[in-house]
This record gives sequence, structure tokens and C-alpha cells, in this order.
Amino acid sequence: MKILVLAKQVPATTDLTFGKNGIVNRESVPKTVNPDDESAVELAIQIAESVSGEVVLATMGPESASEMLSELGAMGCASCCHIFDDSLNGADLVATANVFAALAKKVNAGMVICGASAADGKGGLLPSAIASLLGWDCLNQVSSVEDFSSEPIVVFNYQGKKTKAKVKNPSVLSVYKTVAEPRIPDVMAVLSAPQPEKLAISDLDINQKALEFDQRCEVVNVENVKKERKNKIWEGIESFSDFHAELKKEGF
Amino acid sequence: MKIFILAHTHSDKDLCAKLSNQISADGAIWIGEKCDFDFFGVEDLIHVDSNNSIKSGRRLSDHFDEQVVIVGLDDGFTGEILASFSVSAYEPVVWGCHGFDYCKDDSDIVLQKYGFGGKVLYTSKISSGCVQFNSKAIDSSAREAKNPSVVSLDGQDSVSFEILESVESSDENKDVTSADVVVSGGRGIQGPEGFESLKKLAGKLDAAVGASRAVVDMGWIDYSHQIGQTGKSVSPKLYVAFGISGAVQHRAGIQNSSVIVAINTDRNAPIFDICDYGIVADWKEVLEKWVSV
Repeated sequence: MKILVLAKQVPATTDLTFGKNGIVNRESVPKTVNPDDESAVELAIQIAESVSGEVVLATMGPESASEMLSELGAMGCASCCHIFDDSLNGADLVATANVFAALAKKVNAGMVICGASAADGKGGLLPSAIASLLGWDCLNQVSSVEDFSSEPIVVFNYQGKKTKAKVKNPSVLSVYKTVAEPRIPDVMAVLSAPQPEKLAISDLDINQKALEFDQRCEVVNVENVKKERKNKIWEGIESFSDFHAELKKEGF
Repeated sequence: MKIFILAHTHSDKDLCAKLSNQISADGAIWIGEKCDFDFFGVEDLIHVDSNNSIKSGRRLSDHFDEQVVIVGLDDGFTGEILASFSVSAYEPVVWGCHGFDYCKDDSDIVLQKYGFGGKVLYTSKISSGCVQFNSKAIDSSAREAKNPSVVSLDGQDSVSFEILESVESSDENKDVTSADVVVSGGRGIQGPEGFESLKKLAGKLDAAVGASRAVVDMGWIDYSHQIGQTGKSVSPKLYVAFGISGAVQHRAGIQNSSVIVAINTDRNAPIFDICDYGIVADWKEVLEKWVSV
């Protein structure tokens, strides 16, 4: 079984600037791997090891994302795909999901695993969107895995309740970082890590309509928000009554 | 273009009644077992008897042949349905919205949402698509009840995974994202037992319990409580930080709080730079006094 794992490079700072349509300027800021994604890679590798499968690691993003693929790929991935196409800058949910669903079909994946949320965006909708396009089910917010087999037993969020279930593939899983502790690759693993293969939109079978994201939603204004705080500080436990009185005035 | 409110078996019906009023919904969509639908206060309702979010979204996409805006609450199951609808219908999803209005110049919907931990306010326009509405921004009264005419779509979609059991959480799991008050703990509360103390204050204030990334990483409390850039973003009326230094990643998740309170023994902790009220004192002493008043 081939397992497609998705990873994302996110800004390692909250000191961000924004360009056209509110798109964050990613080029000039330090970057890191989205924390949930490292555990997603580890989980995929453990499942692949138990079923003699292989892990295909993929990302979509700027040139610098290749470095992330090389680092994560050294954990034990069979191959790495870097979807790198200027026309995807600012891609929305529909476009991004179509890219990854097309990639899942291209590599003949039987399972897709990704982080439950991205540190630079809290939507968490991408896994369900990919599952819908593939016609698969999606188990979201997986917090633990009991059985690293082709049909793992997972605890996930189903209709607002923590639920234990046996996964039937093909499926999409979105996972928290608690599912597995990412391994640290040794020198040999780093030296033999797969080189990222660059793919463009033209390499994937995607409906053109999916890529027309500029026409779906128009961002008409982006405003920086600076909230003024009262910043009233007391020193020592003996000031508690003054502190508490102020909170009471606020209605708490 | 018509506006539909979307809800499911586990949705809060009171909130649905208020949201329906706030967005002036033309109709409603219900996913799950049939129930009394009058609380929506709409004339038309589409019912999909399904527990499969992905297939429900696709069914809705097949059903609508007109432009619609579907508005749901900010829970995970609603998000799954909207995501599935979105990709099936090539429609946008805007999540975390707190503002929803008609554009005066055309028939578009104007949406407002915060991004990047409240640092940026986006205003956008859609003519159709999906909106996930921040439940804390619902400030309308409930709509007058009305018995709708119901159209049932073929459903009964099962899920492929085999459900083994519902797992009860070991602690009070009030969701930090929907609570009006959040009481959080960081490294300064000295150990997992510190959260047992915080829960006493949380109980008194009807609050959810939050945590910094550092203590979640150390296994003091479940990941679902983590607040910050890599956890959840919260927007309560009151956010209380016990023993949290205020790393930039944590601050990113709390900037939308109306009032921030910090308790820390280190006067130089960055959390004091962004708080409304703070007290430089031992967290346990403050907590005990607060619980006893």
C-alpha cells in the first residue's frame, strides 16, 4: 500500500506582512515544518513498515519547501513530491484539495495522512475536501493510534465526540502531533534520503475550474488590527483584592 | 441567491435559531435523524438522513442547481460537510467569520473574519459558497418558530470505518474555542496536578481549561486544550493565564480575547505586555483567594 503524506512549511514567526488579497508574504520570513505534519510522517512510516508499504511525501509551496521535504524524507519516505507552480500562489481550499487528490490518484495511494491543522491557518478543512474528491471517508483530528497496521485503530473526533474506530482503507486521516513521536534520522538515512521531485500543475490531471480561485472569493480589504490593552499590573498577593475588584467592575 | 443555514444532530438548536435570524436564512439544511425542525424559523428545509459528512456534502452539491450560500456553525462535523460541498460544487469556504452582511451595491455577501491570531481583519465578498460562522459572534435573538415544508434527499449513507466505542475524556472537556471564559495553565503551575487546582476556578467561572504548548508537550494535559499558534485560537470574554510566560506563539492564540488576565511571579514575563490586568504573585495563592471569594 502506498501512503501519501502531506506536509506544509509554515512561518516560524507571527511577525508577518501581507500582500495582494491578504496573502501572507512567506518568502522573507523564517519557516518551519507544521508541527502536526512531522507526526503524520512518522505515523505513515510506522504503518508502511508494518504492511511492507511505502510512503510518498508531498508538499505544495515555494522553492524553500524542498528543504523541508529532504529533512522529512530522511525519516524513511520512499519518494518526495514538491508541487511547485507560481499559478498556485494564493490557492484556496478547492484548488489545493484538487491538487492533492490528483496527486493521490497519480501515485495510486491507498491512504492519505496529513496534519489536523496548519499553524498558519485554522480551517482544518483540507483533509475532508481531499476525501470528498477521492470518494473516500475522512477521520479527522486523530489523537492516538493503537494498531499500526493497514487498518489502524484510532481515536478521532466524530461528530464532536472522541471515538475509537477501526480504519477501513482507502481513507484520509488528519492527525494531531500526539499520534507518534517523530524519529530523528541518522546520518545514513540523511545521506540516502530521496531527492524531491518537482511537479507542476501540468503534471497533474486537474479540472481547470478548480484552479479559478480568484473568481470564487474576492478579498476587498485587509486591515492590521492593534488592540489596546489596559495593562494594569499589581505586585504581591496583598494586592489581590484590588485586582479582583477591577475584574468585578468588568463583570467577572 | 438564497441563504441556507446548515446544522446536524449534534448542533446547538438555540444557537441555530439565533444564527438563522442573524443571517436572515431563506431555508435550512439538517443532516442526521429527523427531529422537530420548527426552531430554524424558516419555510423550507432540506433533510439528509446521514451520519456521513463527506457524502452529505456531495449530496447537497448534487441537489442545488441555483446559487446558494450555506452557513454553518464552527464545529468540526459542520466543517467536514461544508468542505465536501465546497470541492464538489467548486464553491469557496470562508471559515471563522464574525461578520455577515449583504453588499449594498450587488447581491453579494460581505464577510469579515480575523486571521493570524487576530492580527489581521479580512473583509471579503462571495456571491455563493459556504460560510463557517464563529458561534461566539452570534448576537441575535432566536427566530420565531415556524414549521417548514421538508424535502428529504436520499441519504442513509453509512461510514466506511468501524466504530468501536465512544471514548469519554478523563477531564471536563468544555471546548476552549466556544467558552466565554478560559482559565489556562503554563509551566509555572509546576506539574499536571496544577490543572486539578485550575479546574476548581474553571468550575467557579464556568470556564474551559486551556494550556500552553510547553505543558501539553510535557504531557500534563491533553492536546485538545492547547492554545496558541500550533493549538487553538480562542476569543473568550475573559482569558486568565496562570504561570504562562507568554511566548509569541501562545500570544498569537489569545489576541482576540476581550480581557486578558495574567498571573506570574516574573514581572518581566512577556504575558504582562499584552494583558489588561495582571498580578505578580504566586499562582497558587492567587487561585486559592479567587476560588474562595
